[in-house]
Amino acid sequence: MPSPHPLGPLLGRASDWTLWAGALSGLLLALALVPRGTGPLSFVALVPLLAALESAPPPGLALRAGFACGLVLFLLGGAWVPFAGTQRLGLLLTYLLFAPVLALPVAGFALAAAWLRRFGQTTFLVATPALWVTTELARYSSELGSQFHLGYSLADHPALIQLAALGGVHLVSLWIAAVNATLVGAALAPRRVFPALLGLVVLPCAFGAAASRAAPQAAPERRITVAGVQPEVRAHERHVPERFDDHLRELLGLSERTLGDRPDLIVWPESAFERLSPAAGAPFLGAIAHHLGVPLLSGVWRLAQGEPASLRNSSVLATPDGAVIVAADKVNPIWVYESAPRSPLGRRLAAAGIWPGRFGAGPIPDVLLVPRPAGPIRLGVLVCVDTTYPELARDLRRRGAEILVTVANEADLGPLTSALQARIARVRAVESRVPLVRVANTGPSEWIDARGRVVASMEPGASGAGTANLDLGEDAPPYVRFGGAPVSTLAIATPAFLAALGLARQKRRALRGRGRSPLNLIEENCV
Amino acid sequence: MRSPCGFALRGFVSRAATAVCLVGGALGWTGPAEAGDGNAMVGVGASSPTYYQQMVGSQPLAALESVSPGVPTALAIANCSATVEYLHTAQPDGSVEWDALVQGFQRNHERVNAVYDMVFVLPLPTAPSGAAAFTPLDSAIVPQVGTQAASVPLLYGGEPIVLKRNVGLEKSLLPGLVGDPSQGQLPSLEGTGYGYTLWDTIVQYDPDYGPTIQGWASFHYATDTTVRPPVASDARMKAYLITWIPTLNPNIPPYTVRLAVKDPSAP
Repeated sequence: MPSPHPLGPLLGRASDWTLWAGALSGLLLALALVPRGTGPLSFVALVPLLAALESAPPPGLALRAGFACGLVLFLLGGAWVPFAGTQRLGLLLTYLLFAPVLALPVAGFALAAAWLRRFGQTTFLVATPALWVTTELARYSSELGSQFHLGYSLADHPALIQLAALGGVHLVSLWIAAVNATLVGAALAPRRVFPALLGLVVLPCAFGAAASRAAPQAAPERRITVAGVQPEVRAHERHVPERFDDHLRELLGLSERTLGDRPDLIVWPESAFERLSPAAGAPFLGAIAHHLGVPLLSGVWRLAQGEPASLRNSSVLATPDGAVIVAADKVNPIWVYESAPRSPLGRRLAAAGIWPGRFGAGPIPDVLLVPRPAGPIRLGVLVCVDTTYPELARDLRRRGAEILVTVANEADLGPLTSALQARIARVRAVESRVPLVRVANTGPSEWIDARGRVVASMEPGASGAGTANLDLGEDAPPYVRFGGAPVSTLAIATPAFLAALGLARQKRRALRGRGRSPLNLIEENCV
Repeated sequence: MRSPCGFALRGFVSRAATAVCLVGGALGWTGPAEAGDGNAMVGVGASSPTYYQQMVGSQPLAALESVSPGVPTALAIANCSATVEYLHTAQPDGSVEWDALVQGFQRNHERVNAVYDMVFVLPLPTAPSGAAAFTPLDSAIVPQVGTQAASVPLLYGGEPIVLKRNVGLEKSLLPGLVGDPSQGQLPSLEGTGYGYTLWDTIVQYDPDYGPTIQGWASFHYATDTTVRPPVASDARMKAYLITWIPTLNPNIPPYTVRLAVKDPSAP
């Protein structure tokens, strides 16, 4: 039976406060992840849920508490989805479907944690951080779910995300979840758990402080000047033919303003060139790069080759010699909102105006050589939410990318989502130990160094252009070399091992209780 | 009898084709043989609608903008009185210095509010392999106004026009434009020892500019002694200035003026 809660009289029955604890954790997680400046809340966000689960509630109740946590998190975190386009009905249905689906892994987490509690408090406290990371891995394949990893909440504080260079965002999540679990443990047995809590806080912070310190400035040939243009085109004005020339003039004017800084690369945001491009890229962009005398990376929509022809949300690189090549296609167009329907049901929904998506998925992007006077640099490009997929950035880094550029447009999605995307970009920079430039139509646009520090930025709400110098990538960190497998293995194996250990102990105790040893049992069975 | 339209269009939408013919008639464009007055454009008053004004008509420019990807594969070509003269001087080191001199250029100022790509198509020497057989001595072609003795750069939108060679455009745009001249395409220069080079710049419409754009330009390059001047009498040997609004539907041929190549010895 669940133990009584101090706030029981206020909250009502034990089952009620367990559910409320789950919902409170969901609220705290959303507050830690979505707005700016509240990231450190993540260190306590899971405490209410874990405290409730520590009392070993019945499986059904634990499941519901976890589901409540996930539902609140994803309903709040994805609240922009119904307003992200004109086809509101489809987007609303997506939202209402996605939030409960994404909450399921959190429900599974709570169920497993409550079950592990039966093997003891220590097992529970050690297993839950790993279990939490397992839930992050479980919702990894969804672009919405993958934005809400605990680790991203700390991206405003470079010193706190340096663990990402060792094990990716999930190692940061593991750390945060471990602090949450240890806080619960410290409340139960302060003397025993406090040293562990101290170590858990101090050691990663010390590592982070040392790792986030500025590296010595690189030689001039290892530095790059990148200009970014943030045109701040409102959602309802984008891709409106009457506005095309005005938008193009704005882009050209802002780009020309950066020429005085002698940039090595000018970046325009996602689908900034509002004209459908042939498969090989828009030749006019080549003419513009030629005119500017600087390589230009721009987002475009292009018609991909093949049957049936389909749209790609791409970025193209135009060089001063007028050449244009496709830099990257969006690998993960957002389901329904962007991706073209592939099933008969999806096509019917599209015909009914409920499925607005039109884009096909592109291949894994490759590294490009960008010419510049000091020697070419290797550039990796990610389009919009592809930044939330760590393996894409890691793969580009493994192929030799010295700098990553993300082109984005969140005009439809609102400032909270764009701020979250910017924080995700900072973690990608730390994971790969390369600078990352994020250029977004409505901002924030950021120049992030290889340690995750924002060197320069353009805030949302105003059009503008900016330029910043960045040191090119450093040596590949362990996360690039070994990938996410070590942390994933740890996350999955720890609870499994502890469960096996607990079951074995339980069995041993049961046998002992019956006065028979395992040897007796074998002998009995043999006879 | 020649058509009053001095160009033909391939795959052109019927509405555009009608409009272009109307324009051709309105501007009095003539075929090359009738261009003896020097410039079909010269006689056109400032109030006469330009090609793109006619194309756009009363509708907004956006109505003609591209909804499909692609680049133009035909041009709306009109003759003009401007010429290109290839002047050459032997150098003491055994090389030859050339001056491709464009003179007498004049055309109506387009009155359509758009972003343009001005593309100058200039034949320059090529080796049998197709590679360039010249070494540029100028990094760009900068059109001038005034006399050669007292010239200043041609300013448009407050900035000098600087045409730089665009190799990328030569690869992306040119292959689709070279073909059948009767279809509004450029003739192949195969066998002439010359090949087309593209020089371009982006300009934004300047409403304050006058009714006509006039100027001259010069481009210097060096070759070895085996290079011969272009044969002016070869009907294929012409230069062109394309005024391309890249945002328009690619079925709409960009307006182009044709410049004759002048024999250096001719008066």
